[in-house]
Amino acid sequence: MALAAVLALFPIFWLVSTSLKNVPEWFARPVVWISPAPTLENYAAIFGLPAPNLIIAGGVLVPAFRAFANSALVAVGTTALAIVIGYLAAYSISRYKTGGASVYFFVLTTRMLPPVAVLIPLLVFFTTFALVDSIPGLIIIYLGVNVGFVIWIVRGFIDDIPKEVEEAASLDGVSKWAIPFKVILPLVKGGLAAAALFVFILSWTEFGVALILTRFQATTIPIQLFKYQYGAGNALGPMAALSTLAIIPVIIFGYLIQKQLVRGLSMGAIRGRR
Amino acid sequence: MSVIQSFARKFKFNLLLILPLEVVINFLLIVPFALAIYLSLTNWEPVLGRWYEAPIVGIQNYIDILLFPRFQGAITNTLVILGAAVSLEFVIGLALALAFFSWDFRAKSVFASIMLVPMMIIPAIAGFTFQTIFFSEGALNDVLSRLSGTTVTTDWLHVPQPALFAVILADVWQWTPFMFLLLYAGMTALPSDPIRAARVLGASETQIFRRIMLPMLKPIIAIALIIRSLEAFKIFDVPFIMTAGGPGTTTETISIFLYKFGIEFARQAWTSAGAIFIFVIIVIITLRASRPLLPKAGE
Repeated sequence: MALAAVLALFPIFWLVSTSLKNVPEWFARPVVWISPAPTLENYAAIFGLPAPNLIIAGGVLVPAFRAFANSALVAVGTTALAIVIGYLAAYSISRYKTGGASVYFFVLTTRMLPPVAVLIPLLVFFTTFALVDSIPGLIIIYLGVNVGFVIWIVRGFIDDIPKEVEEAASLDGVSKWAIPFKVILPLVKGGLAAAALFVFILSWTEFGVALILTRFQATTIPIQLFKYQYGAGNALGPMAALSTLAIIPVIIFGYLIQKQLVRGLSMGAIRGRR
Repeated sequence: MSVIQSFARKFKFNLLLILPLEVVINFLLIVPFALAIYLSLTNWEPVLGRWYEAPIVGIQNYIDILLFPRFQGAITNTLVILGAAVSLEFVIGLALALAFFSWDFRAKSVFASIMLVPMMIIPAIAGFTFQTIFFSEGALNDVLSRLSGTTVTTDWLHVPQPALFAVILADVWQWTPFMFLLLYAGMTALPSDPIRAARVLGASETQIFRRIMLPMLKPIIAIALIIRSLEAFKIFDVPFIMTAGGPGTTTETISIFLYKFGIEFARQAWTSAGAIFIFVIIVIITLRASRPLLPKAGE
């Protein structure tokens, strides 16, 4: 058990340790496990602060401000849209059985399709509408990929609410239009929050689609990482620093939804402990 | 309000709620997919002009790509990674879940939390981290050097078999927690009466596991395996960052192949054919295997 824990944490230790190494220690032999004189220059460099000892093959590093801002914008935008659209659809599916089994098939399909299959034709559209290398372009794609996830999770939560709750509300004079917002919404807040964090994590970290759809303007964190690798001559320290910063919010959010994790990961098929 | 009237209103209301979803799915899934099918039947390449003017060549693209050894190689590589990674993840995950389930030890929740960490790591970053572990001046070689007393300088990611193995290892590291989590959740949800009854009747722990727990866990095992296999089939980020499909094409997965030929080499029509072929195969296999995933009629 202890061995499993060590193995689970080792790569993260290695990543953080690398982010604190000085340039000569990056490729040193024997390996420097923990730098004797840890430096913060790798972190300074990715934020455009002066880092006099950081001399790399690619010259000056492009600051990663933009990548962080882009990733945050994309993740927040996707999450907001996916939750609104997903919640409405989940309510309709749960309470009115809209679409029947075919909805499940479609939602499952979004997880089966190799992204490249739809990306090639989408590139045709995106070029026409100037959506390539833009934040809205990324949000649109991530929305399509993740909205199914929201439906799977949220629908399970709505299903758990007894029908009597709505019947009582409508007897009290709440209109049909207001029920999903005034009555049901407060009851599934927890599920919505979990779904939102899921979507946030998934779109914050996506690599494949972003690699195809972004050039310079809409660079997200994983793409910035990729650029540091190839554009800046394998700038190991800054890459590790960027990675460390990028995984912090994910780990925090991950712990916040730990209880809902099982349900989310199994796409709602397994009821997590509440 | 008459029955018909209320039915009409109900009908409108639920469709209105689902309308945004329909727009998204149609715009992002059905239309592009239909276009992909059309493109796969043409010989369109962007340099040759507009896509709607490209001549239709029928199923020629499908024949060509299926006979292309590199595509076959990508399928083989993906299946090797999928088979090795998913089965390792399952065995280790099951062992860990069993240990968690049957032993009571302190700091259980701390260990559980630690186990979940790899899953949270951004795949691209996991790929980068494992690259720095396996490269010539990486952590692995240092450990090997100390153990063997010689200096090991092999660049593991540039030797065919080890590179493939490294990709598998990275996947196992990242996704074993997933198996563990699902199987453990499944075990804690099992009814305790049959297990207790069997124990009273003198069944051994092995018998309890094999005859009682395993059959009851079947649906969850199926779900875990299906979800992991689907994801592993699309594996892209980690091998792309670690090896970019190399050395040569030894770690080139289906997704990397499609990316290279569809985007870098701009063989859109051809790649569409490949992607659709793969998609159809996945759908057929998944639909046959995914009965436990779909909601039951009575639910």
